[in-house]
Amino acid sequence: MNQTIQGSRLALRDVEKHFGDFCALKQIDLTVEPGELVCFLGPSGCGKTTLLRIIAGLEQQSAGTLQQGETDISHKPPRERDFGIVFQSYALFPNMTVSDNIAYGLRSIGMPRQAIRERVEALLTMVGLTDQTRKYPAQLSGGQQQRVALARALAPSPGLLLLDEPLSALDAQVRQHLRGEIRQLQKQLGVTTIMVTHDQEEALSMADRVVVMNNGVIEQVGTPLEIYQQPASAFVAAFIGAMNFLDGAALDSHRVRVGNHDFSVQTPVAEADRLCLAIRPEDVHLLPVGQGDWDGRVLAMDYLGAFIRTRVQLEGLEPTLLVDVDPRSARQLGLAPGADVCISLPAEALHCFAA
Amino acid sequence: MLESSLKVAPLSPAVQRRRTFRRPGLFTVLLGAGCGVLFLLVLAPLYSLLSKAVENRDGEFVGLANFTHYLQMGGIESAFFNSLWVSALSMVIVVSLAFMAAWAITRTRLPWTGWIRGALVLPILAPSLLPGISLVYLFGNQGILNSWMMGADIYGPIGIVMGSCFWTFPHALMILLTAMENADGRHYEAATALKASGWRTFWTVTVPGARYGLVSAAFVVFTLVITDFGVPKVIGGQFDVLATDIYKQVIGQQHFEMGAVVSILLLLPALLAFAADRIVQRKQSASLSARSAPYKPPHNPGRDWLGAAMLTPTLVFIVAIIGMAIYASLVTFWPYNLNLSFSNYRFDLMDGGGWGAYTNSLLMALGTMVLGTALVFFNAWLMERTPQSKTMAGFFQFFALLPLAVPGLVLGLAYIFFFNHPDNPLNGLYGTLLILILCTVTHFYAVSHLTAVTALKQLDKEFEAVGESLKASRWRVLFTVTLPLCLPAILDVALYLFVNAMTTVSAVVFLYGPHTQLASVAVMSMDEAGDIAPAAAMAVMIMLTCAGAKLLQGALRAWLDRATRAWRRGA
Amino acid sequence: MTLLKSLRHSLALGLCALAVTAHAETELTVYTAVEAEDLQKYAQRFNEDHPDIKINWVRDSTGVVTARLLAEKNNPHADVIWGLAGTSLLLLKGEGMLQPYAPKGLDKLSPKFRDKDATPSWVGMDAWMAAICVNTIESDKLGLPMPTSWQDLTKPVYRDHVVMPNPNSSGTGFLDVSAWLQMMGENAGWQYMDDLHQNIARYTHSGSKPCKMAAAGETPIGVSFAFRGARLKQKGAPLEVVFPKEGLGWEVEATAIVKGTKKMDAAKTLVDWSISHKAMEMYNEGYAIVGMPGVAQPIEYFPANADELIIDNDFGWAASHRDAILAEWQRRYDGKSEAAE
Repeated sequence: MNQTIQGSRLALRDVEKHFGDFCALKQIDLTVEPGELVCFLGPSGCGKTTLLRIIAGLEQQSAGTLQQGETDISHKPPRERDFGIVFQSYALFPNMTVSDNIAYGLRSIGMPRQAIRERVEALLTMVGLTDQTRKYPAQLSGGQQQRVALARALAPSPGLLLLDEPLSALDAQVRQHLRGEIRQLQKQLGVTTIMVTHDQEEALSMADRVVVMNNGVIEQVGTPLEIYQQPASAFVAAFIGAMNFLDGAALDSHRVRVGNHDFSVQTPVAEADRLCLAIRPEDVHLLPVGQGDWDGRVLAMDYLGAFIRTRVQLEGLEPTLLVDVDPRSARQLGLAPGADVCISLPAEALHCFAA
Repeated sequence: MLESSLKVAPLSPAVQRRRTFRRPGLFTVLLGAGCGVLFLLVLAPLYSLLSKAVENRDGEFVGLANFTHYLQMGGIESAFFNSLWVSALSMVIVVSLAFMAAWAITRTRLPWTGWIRGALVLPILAPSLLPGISLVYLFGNQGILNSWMMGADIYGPIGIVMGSCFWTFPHALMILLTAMENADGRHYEAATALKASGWRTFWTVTVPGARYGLVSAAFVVFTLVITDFGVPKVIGGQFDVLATDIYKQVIGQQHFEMGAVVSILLLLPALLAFAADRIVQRKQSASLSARSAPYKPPHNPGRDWLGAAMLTPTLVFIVAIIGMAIYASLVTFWPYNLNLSFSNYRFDLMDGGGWGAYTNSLLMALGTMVLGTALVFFNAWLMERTPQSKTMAGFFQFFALLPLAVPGLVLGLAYIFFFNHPDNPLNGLYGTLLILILCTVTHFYAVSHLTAVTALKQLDKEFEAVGESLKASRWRVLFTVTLPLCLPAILDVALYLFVNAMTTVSAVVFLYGPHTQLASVAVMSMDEAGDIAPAAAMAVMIMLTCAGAKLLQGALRAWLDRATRAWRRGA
Repeated sequence: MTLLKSLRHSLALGLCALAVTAHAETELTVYTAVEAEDLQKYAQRFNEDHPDIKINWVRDSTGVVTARLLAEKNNPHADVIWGLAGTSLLLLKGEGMLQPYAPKGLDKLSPKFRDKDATPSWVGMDAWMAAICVNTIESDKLGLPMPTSWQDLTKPVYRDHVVMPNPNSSGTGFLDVSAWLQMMGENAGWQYMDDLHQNIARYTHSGSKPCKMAAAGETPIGVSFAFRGARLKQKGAPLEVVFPKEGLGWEVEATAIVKGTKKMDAAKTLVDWSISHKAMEMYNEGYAIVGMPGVAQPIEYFPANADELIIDNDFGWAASHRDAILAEWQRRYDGKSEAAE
């Protein structure tokens, strides 16, 4: 498909949503740049779908403004906004063929018949369904239905594409494949895209930026790398990837005590009585006995393909520590359940959060 | 490209705040109009009759004096208690039988289910007098199965329960079939994988899956039985129920104010049942799964035989009643001259309007079907598929279901008081075919409404949202997507309204005019005159017409099914 | 060719129909409780004399027609009531719904068959009287003797073999109760009903039902009214219509003009005709007693001395005591629910 779309900029200012006494969204401030793919990521009930529906105009915000490009769309009905949407259920019209589904939005805007035919053909080529035009949604596989929904949403060349859990109804392999396909298509077209998902892997692998939400507020906005490497809160740290949490206390701005061991940290900490030290399993160093900071014993080992997730019981500490280790190092260390090991926690990999 | 022309100057905060309270949209206004229509058709007439409960004969306000008087008359406790237990017993029997039948139809591989289904809904096609005649011919003192009664009397609670079960069975069956046809095959696969026995699967998958249908069916049957006076009047003997008390007060003694008192008392259990149903149904929306695989019963002859065994008694009972009625229409003089002839079908010689009444009935039924289906479906669509406030939708739901709890007799009289009032600008309607149509639509609104709402709820809730994003109005989505998808349900509602309009008596008996006599009323007056055979003949004629309509509808559905097989089943 | 012919045919027919409608200038809406099978006959005979008035019937049972008329009180639709129970007309008169009118030939009417006012609100047609329907086949099977009096019905031999209408639901039922109380006096009357109650198998909601049940063999004995018994016998039911010797309750069937009718002249014409000699002869085809003395000829299944058998019914007394009588009846007998038996 040679035609690109002029993706639009979207700015949300102080958006709030209340359902009676319940506050579903609090003070949402967010700017999405033209052509960007942004993922709303969070557990169910965090408000991400509500926010998407407010952007679409399907829900009315209780307060705040929305601006798309130069236009204030805060109070425009959905039909006067410029977006395409794909729902989790796809909501394909079951009584229409694939091409009729795709042509639906083009007929609404009164595009000439011939032009519609050409555009539908182009879209079908784009999503790779040229041989399925006369079929009905029920005759397609889940992945094919998903592509039709995408083609239908993109048909009127919207400046904004909204995807509400678009892949969650598909099986793993199709999902993997479609992730790449959607991302490629989106880049190629340059359409600004917002995708709602509860799948962190999906968010991290597809998004330019990820918006992590919890309890109606934005916890962190950042590139996948930032989100993973510099989580802004314990919630983000826990929600994205695996993370060990150890309760401790600050000794001074760069030293933290956990159990009866002291550790250095790189980012200065406030001198609070209690805080929470976090480290990702792959950042923990596993060493032969006597070479590390803290002795422990291997409790269990899970082989997860490229690495082994090891559960280690540290001396004098109740919670166990997860350590990811590559198979070769494991062999060298002679790791086995029951084996004694030693660990060290590198300062640059330690995160501190208020307890 | 359009962006520049759509540029809007930023609004001041004050203006913004004001604009968040949007003016009522077109759809709110339309549902408001729908509420208004139902207010005119249901609440206003009811008020004009029921308000007499607190007035004396001269129309002066007397507070609760009529209630005290009625309660002191005695017999009320027994009538109230009788009503409750007869309705509850009928409810239990009908719901159990209907559930067994629905199970046998949807969960076994029995052949000819199309015909079985047709036979099982026959009672809804027949005027209510028909089971009365048949039950007497079967179980009365001269009845061919009188010995089965073992000395008990058909005139009384046994007769009422049998008659009520007969005519309410199809209502329960329709609701339960709808609930059970949409079973998720994956639940059954899961149960099989977990090595659950057939019995355990039944209790852990089948019953919970149908529980909302069961509750709805129970509510509908209970309300139908407790408000019906047709069966108790014909076969109840002196067994007192609240509904016949209304008959005694209004028809026997012309005490409208007392009739209003009993009507209000009769509303109470019905309203309780209604509330219970609403509470249970509220939880339903949460448990609807997004996608499911249709269930295909595996090969299992034992289960099929069980299904057949569960269907047979009901089937035999229904066919026996209908068969007896057909026989009754042919016999010369029961039980003393059993020669058969078709002479009773010469309606041109009959009193009560004859073929003219039949034509009127047909016109009335067609009018009810067209007007009713349009009104019911459009309102249900407004309620389900357009943005509406909870309060408004709640009001509408209440108005729509209220008629179920109102006995036809009360509705008919209420229509006279309201529509015939000289100050009512609509009083020109009185005495026309249109008022019969409106009254009948109202009388049968609730079940039609429930069917339409169920169908609309089953559609993907995002169709309108997708339409909006594709710049299509809700109207366009309605005509290009919603209506085509709901056609089967629309056909069901149309048939339901048609057959009920053909057979109804209780409300229209007060409203027909000199040019709008009805066949169903003719059946009643012929029976009243002792012309049982001609009455049965006209009743059979009505039933055949309804059966014809049902066949036509079945053919349409089959055609629709074939034409849309590709997109419905993916085959 | 045939199509054209049938077209011409239907056109001619249509014109004829048009001519007929054009001829019948006034249409009267007439409410009635007269048997449906007789309506055509009534209208035909009337139209023989008055072809310019078309009758549009609204027919139903007495209770329904009365309830309907009362409910329509604010905006009546009936022009004339032809053939409704006197008790109902008394009620409607009390509500001020009837137009007093002295029809031609009023003086020829028996005084029992008219409203007592100088200008009567209603005028009588015929008498509709109580009777007992006895099924001969079932009686023989059970070895029951043929009853000849009301008192006979209280004999133990008839236990659970008698069906009668509930006076709370049925005018016929009230007619019987009121007649017993008038004939026997209040105390003896209630005592009689106490005894009768022992033999009653059930009370029905409709006045004709006991006779229909007797005709169909559902009960050997049904307390009902004579007209229904005679008609059913005519149709082949194995019935004996018994007229108890103590006397019979009866009710006048009458005609009245509804106040406010816009077709007063036609209404008056109809009421005039309804008490004419010709009309009385017509009523006599189904009823043994008619409003004009000397007209009635004995008819099949009715006793020749029918007018001697009917009691001197005091309709005023019956109407004013109706509520009290019904309440007492309900108190005494309506508690008889099947469950308690």
